[in-house]
Amino acid sequence: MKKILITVSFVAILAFILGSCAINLPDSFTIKYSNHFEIPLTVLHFSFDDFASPVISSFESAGFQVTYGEPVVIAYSTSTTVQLSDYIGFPGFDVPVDSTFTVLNNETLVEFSTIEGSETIQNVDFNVNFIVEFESSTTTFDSTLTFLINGTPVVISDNSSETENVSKYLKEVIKSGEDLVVYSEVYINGTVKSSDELSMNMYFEIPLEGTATTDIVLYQDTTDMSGIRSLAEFVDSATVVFDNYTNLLGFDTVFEASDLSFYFGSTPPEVSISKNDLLSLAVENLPFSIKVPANGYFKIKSNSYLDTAIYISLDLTVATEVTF
Amino acid sequence: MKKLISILLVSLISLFSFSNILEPFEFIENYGLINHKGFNVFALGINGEFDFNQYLFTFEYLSKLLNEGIVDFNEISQLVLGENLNGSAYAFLKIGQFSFGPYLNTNSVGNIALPDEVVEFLKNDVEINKTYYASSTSFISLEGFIQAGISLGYKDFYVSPNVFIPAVYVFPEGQSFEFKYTSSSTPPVMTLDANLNFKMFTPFLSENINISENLIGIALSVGYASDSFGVAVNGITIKPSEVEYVYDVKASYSATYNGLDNTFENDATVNYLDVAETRQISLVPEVTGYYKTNLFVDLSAFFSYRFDGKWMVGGSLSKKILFFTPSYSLLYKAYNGVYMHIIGLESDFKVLKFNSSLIINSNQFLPIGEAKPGLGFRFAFNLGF
Repeated sequence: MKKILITVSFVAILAFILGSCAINLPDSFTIKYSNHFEIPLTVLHFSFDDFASPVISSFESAGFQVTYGEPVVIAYSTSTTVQLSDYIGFPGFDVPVDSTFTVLNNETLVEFSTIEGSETIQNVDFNVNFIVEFESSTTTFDSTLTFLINGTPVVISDNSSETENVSKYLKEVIKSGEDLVVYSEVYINGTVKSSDELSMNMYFEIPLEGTATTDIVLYQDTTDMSGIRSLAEFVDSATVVFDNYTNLLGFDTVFEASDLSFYFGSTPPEVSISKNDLLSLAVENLPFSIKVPANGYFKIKSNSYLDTAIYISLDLTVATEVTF
Repeated sequence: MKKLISILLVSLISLFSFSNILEPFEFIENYGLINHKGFNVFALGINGEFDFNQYLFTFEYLSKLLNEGIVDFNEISQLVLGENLNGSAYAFLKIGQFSFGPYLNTNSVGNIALPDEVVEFLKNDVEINKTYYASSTSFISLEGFIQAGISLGYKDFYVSPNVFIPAVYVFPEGQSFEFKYTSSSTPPVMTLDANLNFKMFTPFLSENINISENLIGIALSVGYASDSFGVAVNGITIKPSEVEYVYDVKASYSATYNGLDNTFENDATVNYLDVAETRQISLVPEVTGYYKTNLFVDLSAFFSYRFDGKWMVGGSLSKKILFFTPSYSLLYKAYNGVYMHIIGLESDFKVLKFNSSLIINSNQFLPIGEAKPGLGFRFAFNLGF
């Protein structure tokens, strides 16, 4: 009896073990794999010198003084001395005069149409400085200088040295994209000696830095990113990382691709994007651009470039169901 | 009435006879055990064993896998798989003190183990500007032989000449497995290369299977087997099998993404070329032994030691009760660190014996929790008188 009990017990245990092994298998299996990957995409080398150098050269060619710094500064100065004897035939004594004499007759100071990149310059609010100085301190008669910037008159009237800041008018001209044309005339009322002279000095300086008044597109192109589409299907989340980042542009820059934009500051951006964002990037002709955003700071300097390597850091999950 | 007496007689004999759960061609080989299956004159027998061990998943995860139906590759522990396949058939004739036992035996033992660095690559974060590398020069072992011989016994001693051919044999030397993944942000390039190469022989891949005379090796086994003690020396190669060609197996995969020109290229090749190369394949000699005793239950201890350093040791307990012998055996295969728990039941109807076992193996003693379990089964069918 004891032996039978032992046998039955053993068989029961065996049956239990075998029964436990005979697990009711599911009708389908899901094969799953997930991991974190960092995948290189491309490198981005944007040299702003390609834009800035022709601009600077064309200013130089036009006779402007160029100071290389951060930013590059364009300067122009001229001094015009009016020898009244050139205008009045002196009979050997002092002459009473009540007349107007033209000093500068519509001189084009800046021919913007010949300046490279003038369309870009037009869209920047530069902090310009334009001074017009009229000196008549050695004379005894009344004199008035009328200075016209692209037709806008500025009147300087004094017997002593007088300056006028006409920067706001220069800004307007730059903004309009027109050539900078100046005209000046002097009105004299009094007794003029043959030794009398008047002088007019003009000085303007344009530091090529300022605020963009609208988006300035510096570079745009398309690229084929369709290769990551199959990968993008399995992505849970992703981060676009800019590695080996060197930004010597020195101004506000935004990188735009599809509907995404990344700000290029002094430190590299790191932008989290969703699966849908990644899918929107994974197209054959992906437009991308580098731009200075409206109200962004912009400046022109030499040795200006941005280098970076773009990769995506992503968590992906692959799951496929196998049905029996 | 005669039937009843016969049944009672058989039952009584069965009740007090010494159980013998060791089979001649299973985890220890001793051809003399043919003599001790309880047949006095003539017997026919077949037996088979298959088990596999794996280091892929833990027991805990396998339970979850079977319940939830999710095969998660992130749960892979190691890329290691092993198998053992054995099948044999024999006859036995005993005349006086002499016995004759012709037999046919096929077996294969295989193991594939890819470096742990591959699993780490699959499971851990794959970072940019890093290189992940893994290599191995011994990642696969596979030996399968077909043997035919005769066991010639006198009393408890036997000598067994046999002939053998390699059914499949992977040469241990000249193997290479290499895996390399590297990526960089500058330049934006990502490359994956995986290659494996080994040489193997099998006569079954050629269009015309040709068993030449040179291919047939000759070996010898000698030993002693009694009810309580046995020792055997197997695989004494007298003439090695000589193969005249080997298969050079190569597989490779490479993929490159180049972000500079936005190109992705990949290529996969798998081929095996037969190369004229003469090689000799010998059986590895081994010594096996067992000892059995009877306390309240039948106890046995056994071992085998191959001369290439692979050894295993085990023991069993069993108890014959009426026609049945339930048994439990524990075996430790030192060469791959696998414990085998074998739960068996032999049915003994004197002229007909059937032994079946379930094998649960594991890399840890208990095949639960974090252990990586495998499964197998054995059966033996004997008929005689």
